[in-house]
Amino acid sequence: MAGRLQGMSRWGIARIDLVLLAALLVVSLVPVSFEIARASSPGPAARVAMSWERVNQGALAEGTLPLWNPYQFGGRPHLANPEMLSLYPPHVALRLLPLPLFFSLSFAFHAWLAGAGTYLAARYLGVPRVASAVASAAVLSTRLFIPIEDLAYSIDVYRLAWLPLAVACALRSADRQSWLPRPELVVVAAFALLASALRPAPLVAAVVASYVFAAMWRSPLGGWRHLIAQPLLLGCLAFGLSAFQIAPTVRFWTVMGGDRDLLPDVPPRSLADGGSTQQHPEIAATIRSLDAPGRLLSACDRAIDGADLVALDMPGVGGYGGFLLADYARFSNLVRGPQERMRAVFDGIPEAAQGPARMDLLKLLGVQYLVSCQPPDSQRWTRLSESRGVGVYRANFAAPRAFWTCAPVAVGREEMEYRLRRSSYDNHVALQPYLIVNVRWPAGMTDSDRSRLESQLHLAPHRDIGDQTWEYNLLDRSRENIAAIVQHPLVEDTQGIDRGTLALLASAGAVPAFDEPKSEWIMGANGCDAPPVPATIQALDHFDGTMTVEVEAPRDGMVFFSETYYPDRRAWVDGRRVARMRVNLAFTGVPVPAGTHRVDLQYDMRSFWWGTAVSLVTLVVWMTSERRVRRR
Amino acid sequence: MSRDRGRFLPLLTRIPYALGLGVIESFELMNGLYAFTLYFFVALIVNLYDTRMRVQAIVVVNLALCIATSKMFAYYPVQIDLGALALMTAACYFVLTDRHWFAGLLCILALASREFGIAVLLCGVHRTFRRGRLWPDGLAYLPGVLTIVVVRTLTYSEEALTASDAVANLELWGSPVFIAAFLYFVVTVFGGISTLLVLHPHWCFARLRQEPELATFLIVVVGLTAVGNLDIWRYLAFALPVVVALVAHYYRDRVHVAMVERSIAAGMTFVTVFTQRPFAQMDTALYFRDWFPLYDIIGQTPSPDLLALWVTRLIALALLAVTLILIGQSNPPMRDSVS
Repeated sequence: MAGRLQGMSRWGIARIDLVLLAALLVVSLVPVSFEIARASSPGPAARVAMSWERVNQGALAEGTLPLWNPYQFGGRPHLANPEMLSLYPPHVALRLLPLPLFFSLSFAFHAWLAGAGTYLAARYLGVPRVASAVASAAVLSTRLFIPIEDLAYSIDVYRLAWLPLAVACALRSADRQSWLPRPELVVVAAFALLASALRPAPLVAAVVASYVFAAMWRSPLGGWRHLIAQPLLLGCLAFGLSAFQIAPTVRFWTVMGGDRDLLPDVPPRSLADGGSTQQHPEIAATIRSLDAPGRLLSACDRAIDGADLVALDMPGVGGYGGFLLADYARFSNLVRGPQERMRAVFDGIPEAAQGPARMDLLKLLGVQYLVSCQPPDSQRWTRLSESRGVGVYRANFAAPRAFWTCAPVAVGREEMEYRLRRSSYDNHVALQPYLIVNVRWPAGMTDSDRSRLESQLHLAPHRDIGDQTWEYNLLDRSRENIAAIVQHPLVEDTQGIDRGTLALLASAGAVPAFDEPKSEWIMGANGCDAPPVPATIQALDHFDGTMTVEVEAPRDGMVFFSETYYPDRRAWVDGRRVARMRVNLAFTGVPVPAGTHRVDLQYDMRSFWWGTAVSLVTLVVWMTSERRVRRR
Repeated sequence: MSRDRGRFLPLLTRIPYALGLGVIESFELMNGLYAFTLYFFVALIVNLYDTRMRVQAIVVVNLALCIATSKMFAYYPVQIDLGALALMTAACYFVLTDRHWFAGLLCILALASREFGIAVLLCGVHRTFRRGRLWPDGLAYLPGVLTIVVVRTLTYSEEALTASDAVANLELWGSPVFIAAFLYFVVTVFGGISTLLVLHPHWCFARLRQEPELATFLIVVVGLTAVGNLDIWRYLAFALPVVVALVAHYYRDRVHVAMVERSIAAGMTFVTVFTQRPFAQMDTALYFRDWFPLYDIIGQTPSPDLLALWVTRLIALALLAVTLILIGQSNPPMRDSVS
């Protein structure tokens, strides 16, 4: 028929329809320039999404896959988490663009996709052209429904954008008298599956509803078996084609099986008014200039938050979400102080600046720098810079990212948590059960003065029990330190110490017997008579998960990495693969014999390659089947 | 929560709770049963006017995608409203089929659940009066009237709407934002179903004149909503039986060409998905932003983003309405019982 394009005629699409779709594309591109400006100064939600995409872009620049995000939570799997959209084709195509343009264009494309899908679905249903155009305009305007700082970069945008097109393709495919769905539906379903971070419920609902809808209005002469076969095969094909993403994700879910009870990867909405390094350029500049390989901890979320860590190229403690990193969160809650709660949620360590934070555990996190909104304990932290009440501080203690120490001990889960909660590490990284004493300070003493004295007298604060009296874990139990406490002019009274003989009346609590399988490894539970030996860092913080250190082990023991444990990050010692251990709930330990060794951590990509193989096989099988169907 | 706190639960919810389920699970189970009951009687009401199975299916599917009749109770299950709505819908079905003693019985239960049960009671009384059967059929509703008295006098009602509250709430009509929100929720409370009906006001009035007891039902619900508080659509939802009857009537009267029927069904469902956002994951912020925005606007300083969002929603809704009108215009009415 004249005026119709050959390839599109089966859709019932004329040249005017193509013109309308092109016009829709132009309209969807109009707000891009405006959104680039907004995306250049993003709020919390946008910055979280941008930080994830930054890792994708960083990996591209390194010429590798974005397997590992070294900046957040002591390192976290990246590609395996489908919400990172690392392998989502439209984003892969845009990945070389600057981030504001990347997101603005991606958003425009998805808005157009939703509008075009609506138009095609309406046209296929026989809706008049004008009505179809108005409906697609209404959908396109939903782009404005989503405040850019709220949901603009959320997974919902990408997930929902494909649905109208999926409906259009499914309605058309339902008219195909074949068990194989139409190719465009397969492609759209695969893309939509990736866009939805492998949460297929809306896609399944849309496709099934379309087939049911088609069945309700189809000719009674038509068969119905293909209406059942097509969705089932579509599911197989879409999952098969997406296997390159599904396989790492399934591996991710299965290996972290018991560790699923943490927040999903969404930014907290309560941060709507806070958090941006752009408000503190001086602080950002200072952080960028830091050269030691330590991690940064922000006790001041309104200045630096988890999303900033990536933007600043700064490995840090924490981040947003942290799905499947519950043990890391539990450990961070232990660091916050001697509290009884063990919540599987990372909600920062504000006590690191001023409060009863466990410095012995803070060191295990590799924290070397602190951002704080209030001056922290000067005994522990040295100020590097300050801007409008926010400061960057360097730790006065060493917290190496990797060090040699004595071999860990196998314990059960409960015993692990009991010991970590009721013991503290000494300078040899040996666990010392708590020895509790009470100290009464003079009235009117400031927090900073008390904090300074606590450091000086080796007292780890537990809690304020009233009447200016605090409960402490006595870290240094030597007679000299006890004498210093008792005789200090500002110490009004003590409990747990015989002030005459300087003998300790309190004693460290014995560890009760735990009847449970020894599934965990804990450092220093049997003591350690040698001090830790810091490892020399050769390579770290790569997006492929590689970290290399050299260490001189005085005797058989373990290299402790302040890196989040992930089973697919494997270890090699002098080129020989060895079993790595999960130490102290959430960290990576590699056993080494005495001597000088090179230790490598590398991400195991086998699940990705297996998935890619499945995708390729699916592609070949599908194309072969499609050709046969077309021949018939 | 100790088990003896079950005495604070609604009567029917105590059954699964007594069988060992938790509070939330008990509500969820009962909401499932209420939803089934609701959609079952919705299908029966549709069947009174249009016997096409697919029309029943489209109406039920649309309601299952709506916030007011489904999603609200998935997100916030510890409510009695879905049960009350199911009872009112069942009662309305029996009113429309002139089985007034069943209707009267269900009115008692509906009135014991929510005050909106009075709408179906008045609807039933009106129908018996119109058909000249006030005696004896009208007597079926007398226990319902007694229920109102008993509930209001013998039980404690938290924040019950009083006459002075209602008068005070009328001040809300001085706010253009409230009026706009009221109109928006009138149009979208049942997604595409309510949108479709609002676009045909003359036809709806004509149908209501034919069955004025439905108008009584509607006036009571809309009237109570108008003097209620900011939870507009939560109250409008109780108009469901009338809306279902009207949309079924609409299909019977005006949709006969298969392709147009398909287009209208698709368009209606599209508007429902579009306005109700059944796939959007809910949280507290979205609960207030999308479902109860007036709490963040009236008496507050609303954020520009919130206002922009809702202005855009109104624009999009207008475009969708135009779409439905254009689809409907391609359907020459085969029979119009008004003319």
